[in-house]
Amino acid sequence: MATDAPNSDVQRFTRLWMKNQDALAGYIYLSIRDFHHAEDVLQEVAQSAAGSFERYDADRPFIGWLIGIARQRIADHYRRQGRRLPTLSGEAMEDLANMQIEMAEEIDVRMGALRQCLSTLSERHRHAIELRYGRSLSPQQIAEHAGVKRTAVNALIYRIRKALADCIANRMREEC
Amino acid sequence: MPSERPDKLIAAYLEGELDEGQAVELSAWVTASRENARYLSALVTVERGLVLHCRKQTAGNIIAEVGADEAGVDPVWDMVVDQALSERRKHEVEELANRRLAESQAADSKTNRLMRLRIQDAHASEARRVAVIPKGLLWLAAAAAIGLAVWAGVSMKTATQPRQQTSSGDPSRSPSAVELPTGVAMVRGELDARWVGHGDPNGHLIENQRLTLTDGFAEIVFGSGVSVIVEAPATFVCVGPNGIRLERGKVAAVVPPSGTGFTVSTPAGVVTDYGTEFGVAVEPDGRTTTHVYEGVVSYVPASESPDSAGAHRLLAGDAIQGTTDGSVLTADADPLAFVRSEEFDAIQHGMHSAYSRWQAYSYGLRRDTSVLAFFVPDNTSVVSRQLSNLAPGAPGATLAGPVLAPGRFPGKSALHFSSNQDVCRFTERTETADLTLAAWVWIDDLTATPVMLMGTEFWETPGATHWQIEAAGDGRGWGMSLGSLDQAGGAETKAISSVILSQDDWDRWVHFAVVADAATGQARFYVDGAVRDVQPYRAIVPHVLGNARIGTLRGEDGRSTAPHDRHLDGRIDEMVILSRPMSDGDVRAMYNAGRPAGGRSGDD
Repeated sequence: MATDAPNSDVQRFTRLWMKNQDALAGYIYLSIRDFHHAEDVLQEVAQSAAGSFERYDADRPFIGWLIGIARQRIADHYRRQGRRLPTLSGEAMEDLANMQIEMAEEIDVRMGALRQCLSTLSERHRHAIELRYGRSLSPQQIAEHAGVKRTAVNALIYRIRKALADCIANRMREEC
Repeated sequence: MPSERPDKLIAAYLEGELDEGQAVELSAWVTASRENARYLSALVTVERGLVLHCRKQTAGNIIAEVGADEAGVDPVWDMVVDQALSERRKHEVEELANRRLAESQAADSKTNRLMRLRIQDAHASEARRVAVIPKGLLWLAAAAAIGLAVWAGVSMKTATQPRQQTSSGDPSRSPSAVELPTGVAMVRGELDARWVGHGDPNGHLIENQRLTLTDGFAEIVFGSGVSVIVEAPATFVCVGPNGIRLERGKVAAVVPPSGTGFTVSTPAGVVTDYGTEFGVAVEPDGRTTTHVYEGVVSYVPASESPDSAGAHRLLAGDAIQGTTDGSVLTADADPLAFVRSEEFDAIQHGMHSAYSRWQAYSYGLRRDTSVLAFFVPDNTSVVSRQLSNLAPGAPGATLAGPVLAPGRFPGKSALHFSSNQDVCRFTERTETADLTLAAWVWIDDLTATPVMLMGTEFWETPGATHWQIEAAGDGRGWGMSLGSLDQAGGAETKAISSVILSQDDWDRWVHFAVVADAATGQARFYVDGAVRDVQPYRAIVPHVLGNARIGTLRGEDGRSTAPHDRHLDGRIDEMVILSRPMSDGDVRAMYNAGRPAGGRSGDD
């Protein structure tokens, strides 16, 4: 009975994908600020990569190959939306991509820390996070209904993100 | 430390509001130092984490989930919340939030939708089972979705860590203290399931535990986020958080990005998925058939040596059958070969929702090999003026004129006809002596009869068929008729019912059906699932619908053999045509499954 997958390209691709998926997801999210669209593009990259794996040059980093495919898919995404690609420069994106690759190694620790850090937020801040991310309200929508300026909401959300990023960094330092 | 942060630029970037000038400025800052790049990357990672975290929770649970420790107050947000949460504004914000969430869900990819549905359902099952694993699983799903694809190796650690941390404060403050998963997967839902080998009351499945599902269906969620519907009779083993060994039976899997690499091992080979939806069926002799519905799948016969390049790549719409001796046949995927997640959900929720009840029924109807046409107009079935036909392999209908209007369920649509220019045309060339025609119809007005519900375009070809509402009982009321042309330019066979409709049947959804039963030589007429009249009907030649129209007779070419306009003033929500005579029970079941909430109950 065949209970184990053969040690073929299929398995090799799977292993490589597993290892690099998070860095790739991070890279895509840097370029596409809508989470669901980013997830869709991630899936498209997976399908493209699986379908053309024989063209992958094993002497080069797999993540680089994936990012090359992702660039095309991201461009396709913006074309479908009829928008220009409002992105950072190629050099900046490369720096950020490298950073995502580095940070992918510690993603589970970061997510655990994020969960802990959420508990340090005030209830009102958590409510803000829920409206913004859980319910996908834009800062403009929150501002309109709260009767304040959008910039005030933007500033608040940004401060919360910063506080969480700092909290995560502190917790990770403590664990080291 | 990073150089002075351009906070406004970063905030604009994170909100997707960066203009070109700002993009240049922020790019320069990112490339100025490694720390800057790291800082921005960290913020983006926080944002991804927040999105995943929030979306994996039911609305409002985030506060309960993380505890209630307070730390600092933001004066700006105080003002925002104080105003927003005044009674009037709170209502507005909630309403907007719910609308935004609904829009977001509608626009989501299927995978994301399914994933969120599962998470929400996990909460529901939590309430039913008292102490299961949803919260732990939520976090696992969030972690998996963010890319913890190596969950296989660290799953228990990943799952345990956050729970211990959360619980270490005051467990009682969490309203839903839950147990951690103790296996590689869990049974999330069941339909009339009977098991051998599975007795865990919380639904946990242990690695390498051999299970047999003797009856019914079960939905299993793996640690990787993969969802699998198992159909009995089936024997299988969960070989890890991202794989199953199927010895016999059927499974239909939905694989999110985090589950890429999910494997189904069978006696004939190994199916590996790359983020998609597919089904695998294993016969008692080990023959394995794989159908791919979305994405890419590979199939490697068991007879292939591990080092060979014998993998078959399958794309959406492909199917492959492999045997234990290594032979392989390719075919087209059958969309109805498996009970897939949407159907499972429809069946499972059918008892609670009229729409779901009808959906569950409609899946069964689509498998009926006698269905010639099954039109269900809605936003997904109407694309570029084409109405898809749910009868397997049957061509769709072309629309010219009728617009989508509210159907008989909230969120469902119907075709609205208001003139003889509203054309819904299709072609069906099967010759059949028996015939069943059924439709959900809303009549706005009935000023002139007959009104064509469905009919062959031109009354010229033997077998041409007309199903109409027309005057009956010497003009005292309305009935239904079924007619078939015996020979070109000649006589017709026609049955007209007695008066079976009244004005009470206007402005409401009514289920009409007629059955031509060659064996009994009768036409049976039904309203709302009940037989209302039976008339002799012996067609000389088999019915052949040919080029046919729904809701009107005249076409845009203006040609018609009818003396006057026969268009419907109203809506048609669903039209079913079968080449067999449905029994009274069949028609009643169709009506009962499809009747809208609050509609007449018929004979049930």
